[in-house]
Amino acid sequence: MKTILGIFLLFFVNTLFSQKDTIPVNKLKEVIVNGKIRTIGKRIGAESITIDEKQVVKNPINFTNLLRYNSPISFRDYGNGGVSTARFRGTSASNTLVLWNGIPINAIGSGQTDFNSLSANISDNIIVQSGGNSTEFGSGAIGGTVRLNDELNFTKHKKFHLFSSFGSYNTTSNFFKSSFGDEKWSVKLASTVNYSDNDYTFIDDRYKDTNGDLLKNENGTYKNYGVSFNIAHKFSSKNTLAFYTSGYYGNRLFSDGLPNPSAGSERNEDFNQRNLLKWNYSYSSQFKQLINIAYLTQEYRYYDNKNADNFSFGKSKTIHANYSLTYKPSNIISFNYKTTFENITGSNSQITTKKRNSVAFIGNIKYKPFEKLLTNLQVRKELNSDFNVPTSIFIGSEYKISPKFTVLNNFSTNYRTPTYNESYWPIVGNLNLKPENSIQGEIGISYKNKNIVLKSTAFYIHTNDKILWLPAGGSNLWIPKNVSDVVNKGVESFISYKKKIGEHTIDISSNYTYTKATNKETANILPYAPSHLLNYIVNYKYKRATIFLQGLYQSKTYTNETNLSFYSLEPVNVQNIGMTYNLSTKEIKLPIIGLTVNNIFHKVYYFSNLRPMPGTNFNININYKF
Amino acid sequence: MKITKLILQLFLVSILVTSCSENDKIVEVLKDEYTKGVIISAEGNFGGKDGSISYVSNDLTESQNFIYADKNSTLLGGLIQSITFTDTDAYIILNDVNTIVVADRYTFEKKAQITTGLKNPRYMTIVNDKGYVTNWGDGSDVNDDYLAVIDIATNNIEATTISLENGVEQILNKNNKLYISHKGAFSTNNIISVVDLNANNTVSTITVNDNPDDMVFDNAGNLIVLSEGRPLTYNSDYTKVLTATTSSINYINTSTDEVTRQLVFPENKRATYMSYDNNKIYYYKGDNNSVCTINDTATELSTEGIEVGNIYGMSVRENELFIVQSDFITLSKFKVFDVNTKSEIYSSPVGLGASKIYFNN
Repeated sequence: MKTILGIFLLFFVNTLFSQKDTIPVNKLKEVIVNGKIRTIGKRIGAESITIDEKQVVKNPINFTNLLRYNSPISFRDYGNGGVSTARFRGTSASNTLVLWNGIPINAIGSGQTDFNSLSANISDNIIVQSGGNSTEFGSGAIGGTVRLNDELNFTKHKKFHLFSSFGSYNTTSNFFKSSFGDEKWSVKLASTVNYSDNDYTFIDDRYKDTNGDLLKNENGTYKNYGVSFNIAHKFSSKNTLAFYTSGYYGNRLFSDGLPNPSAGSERNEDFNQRNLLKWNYSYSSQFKQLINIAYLTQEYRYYDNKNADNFSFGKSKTIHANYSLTYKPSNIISFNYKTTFENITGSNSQITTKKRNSVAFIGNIKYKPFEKLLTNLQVRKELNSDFNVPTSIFIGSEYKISPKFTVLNNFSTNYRTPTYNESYWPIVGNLNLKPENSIQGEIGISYKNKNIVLKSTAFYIHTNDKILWLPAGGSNLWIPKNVSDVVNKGVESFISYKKKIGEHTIDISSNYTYTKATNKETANILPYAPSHLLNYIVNYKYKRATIFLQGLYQSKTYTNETNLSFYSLEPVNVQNIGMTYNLSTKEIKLPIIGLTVNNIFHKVYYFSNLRPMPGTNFNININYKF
Repeated sequence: MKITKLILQLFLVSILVTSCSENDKIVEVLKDEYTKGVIISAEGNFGGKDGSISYVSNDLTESQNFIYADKNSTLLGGLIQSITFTDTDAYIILNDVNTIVVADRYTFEKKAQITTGLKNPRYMTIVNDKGYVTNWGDGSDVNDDYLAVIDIATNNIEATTISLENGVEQILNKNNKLYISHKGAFSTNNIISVVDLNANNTVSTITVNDNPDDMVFDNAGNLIVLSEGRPLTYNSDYTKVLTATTSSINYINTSTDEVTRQLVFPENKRATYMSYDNNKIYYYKGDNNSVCTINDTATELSTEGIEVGNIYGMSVRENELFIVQSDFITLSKFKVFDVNTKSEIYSSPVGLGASKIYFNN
């Protein structure tokens, strides 16, 4: 840990220094066009959304907030900044797989990712892909995947990007990214610092203190630091070697929410370190190989009493390596073979060190029988030291009806292996668990013209052997079990519209998902699976000024399967507004300054029972690329 | 033109959906007063802030769930560990949020709340206008258990606390003495603490058997204690079961505060709940899911009883046995059995984690 902090501190000092060094110089630089949608790793027959820094600067405070307004994912967090988990299409948090530069990073204990303990704002782009993806990425990719990517840039460049925001509750979010390179080298260095007192007023006036005053969020302070570095060398057009590394440290207090915020006493620390070596080599125009070797460590320390020294912990070390060989004999067909090896060593306060190994073999054929049709067949067989993992397949196709209209569909089988907690937790851990497995399909259309992008997909997911923790008869023990089947069906849509008239530019994008996720046996709706989830951003730009409006709507969400209003969260309907002004002139590149007002109508809203979100709050920000 | 339409539509959608939600109410109002009936408290899930209270009329014709939320349009917001009643009020102890909510015992309208001075509160008893609340402190800290004292007239917590040994649980009073069972919190204990309010709160202890929990006074004035016995314990890496101790019923003479006799259950036949009514002791055994009955003077345990399934709480009144079959995922079941015919005479769904049954007449 000390080394991570050391590296961080070193880098932070550098950052400050370089800031001082470069700002007064006002170097003239070209305007950098960013946010290019990458097609690498694009799945045939499935749609994805790419989020880049244009969105990040609108929702900088945490990753949850960013994705809430920009993706079809539904989040549950324990109050602002608290532990946050993500669900695609009404599936579970452990069915959402997060990847860092292609390497899975979900926690081995819970199988989930806490979206408030990731430095996503220093990634170059974030790809949100709904739908099954186990053939490609393995366990957990049932609902969808969120990929954090760093980009290489082999052009002559020198870029700096500084973003800093400060606002209500002493909240500050900052990142600094720098990259430079030429035809042979690509280097990126980035860091982020985020802090908040997070002591917002609970504006729900049904709950007050003994004097009749509104309560405040107590014990909610958070701070976190992230740093990432990558360096790549292009030996030739056929041969590239890249190294990525990142570190994260988070220190949070966990608030208790209503009715008695003073009951909050917990603290949590996260330490993550990730390294990846990537070697891309083309033997010829037909044969290409890619080798990835990654080493990841994760650790959390949980303090029941923040003032005490004793904590419980969970930690893991993962070695992940894969080799991929692509053979593309012609433009109409390509073959890919991939082998993945993963070795996980994990332990926590309750579980002594356990190892888990897996090897997976993946075959992939992309075939374009005629110009308008693109097809893909993928098969994965995983051998796991602890489980019998079902073979997974993916079949996708895209058919271009017209230049603007495409029909996409895919069918896949996916799985999630039992987590360390589910397998090994003392007494209750169940080594006889079977992996959750799903059969799913989707069919959708995509329409694109100069101004409009419209994507809409109907999906169906049938998950067998869903693993749930249930109280064991006659005791207070909760035991993980493979229980009933669940079915998720619905429609996921994305629309964007962009039009420029003279100096006016309007830009709208919106995600809407209708989900019906039910327990097949009881027909009851699953918890934390809202029927309607809508978000939108309207961005209007005139000359150097921009104004944007964001909205989020989530329909009533049940907190358990009783489907009673008593056990539900009221609908969420919240809007934010922001303004930015670019100080740059034709001669000088200067910062963009901004003001954002979140929750403009001061609405009471919840994503967890009695853990309210903040009322109207502000931040001012500066966004400077040079 | 198109653009404005689109924006308008997006807005309309959000407005439409909001206005629908305004009609949502927690539950329908049914009664002004919850008298002449049974009050069932449901814990909800730890940290889920969804404890609830249900009412079933004595004649078993009316029932209503979520009565507190209904009456107050707010949630209690914690795990209901227990409720203690005065003549007028109900002190609802919320364990995981260190809070006691005071409500009218008949209307369940909220009157006050106590949010300081509590840490893992468990049970309460009231003597001379003072409430004594058992608190674990930190559940894994064996040295910080205490009694918090509440002035019932003002509902203020008093500055002085009474320190006790580890794992305080239930609390009763007799003759200005407090009797506290020490179930052991996250570990184990085997004592009853006696706090003498007449003697400057001096604390003495009575050793019983492992994990004393439920306590009752019999008609002769003895304190009867159910020591559940230690549940299973394990070796360091939790691969081997080390011990489980037997359950027992201890009789304590409240004049001398000494154990006068005990009834010991056979090994692996643990008893986990106990009630007392009309000179009879009722206890629940998990091995055969039965509630058995013995006279309070009996010298032997009975093994056969009323089969009630897997329960999480029970109470007895006038030959009626009230139990809850608890569930933490779906609704629990509240059931009434006729003690004489041993048959089920009533069943209704109640909140998640239903655990305690009280009578409100």
